[in-house]
Amino acid sequence: MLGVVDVSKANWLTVRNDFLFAVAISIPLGILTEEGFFRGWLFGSLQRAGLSEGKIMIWTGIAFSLWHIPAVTMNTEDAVPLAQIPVLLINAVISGAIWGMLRSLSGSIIVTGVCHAIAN
Amino acid sequence: MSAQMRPNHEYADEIRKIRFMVSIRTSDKRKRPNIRGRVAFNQTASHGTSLAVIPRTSFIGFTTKDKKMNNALKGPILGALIAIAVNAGMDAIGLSDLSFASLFPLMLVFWAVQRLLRKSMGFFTRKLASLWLGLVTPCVGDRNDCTRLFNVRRGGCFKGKLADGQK
Repeated sequence: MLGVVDVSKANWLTVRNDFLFAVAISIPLGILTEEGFFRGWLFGSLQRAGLSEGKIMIWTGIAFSLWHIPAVTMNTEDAVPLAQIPVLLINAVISGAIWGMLRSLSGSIIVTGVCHAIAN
Repeated sequence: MSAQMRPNHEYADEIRKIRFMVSIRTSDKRKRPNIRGRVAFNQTASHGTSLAVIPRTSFIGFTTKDKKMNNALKGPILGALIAIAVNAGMDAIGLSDLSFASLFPLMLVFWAVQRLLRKSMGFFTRKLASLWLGLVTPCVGDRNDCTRLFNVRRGGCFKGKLADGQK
């Protein structure tokens, strides 16, 4: 981001407060919703089904990406131009797989919730 | 097609014969019969009406473990589809800001239905030190955010002012 965006006029106190507020809200909300469903229940359910950890990461990432399709294709705040939809969905698959890997390594969705909140 | 069809209950003897043949074959091989399907009437012009076991095609060639896995996958697939459908419905009626919240009750419902352990759900910290993974990954490992890069280069949703010399 450095070199691309001019941050010389940024109010860093406001930025810090906004960042901390957003993270503080996002972590519990994320753990109870997106992380709880995809990296929590779906991950555990696929583990019980006997899938390998690698496959679980991929499939939870794909499910996470498919879940975002309505948000980016319908008339919502998160809607993006048609050309950007594949990029965004691939990005969601990779992000979901990375968070799945974190879940696998740590065994906890609290870790993935923190990561998800900061990334958001 | 000259043979007339008899009522189903009149085929009871034939069904017993088939079961007897299966049991003999089973005792020979000393393992459980891998026959899952239904007994169907097979009517041909040359042989008249006969009975046959029609196996479920989806299970042919699968081991017992695979069958269990197939059944166990129904829950996760159904759950994911319901979550996507609910999310789409909420987005369609203008509740996109709250659509993420629908995952919470769904998670609770499927958690209760499948009776997963709290540990399986990931609601615990194996060790607090693992939290550093969550803090560091966005800075180091999560550099795949090509969407943001895509937007920045086109002056898209990222509203920051571009530095001099950037296009």
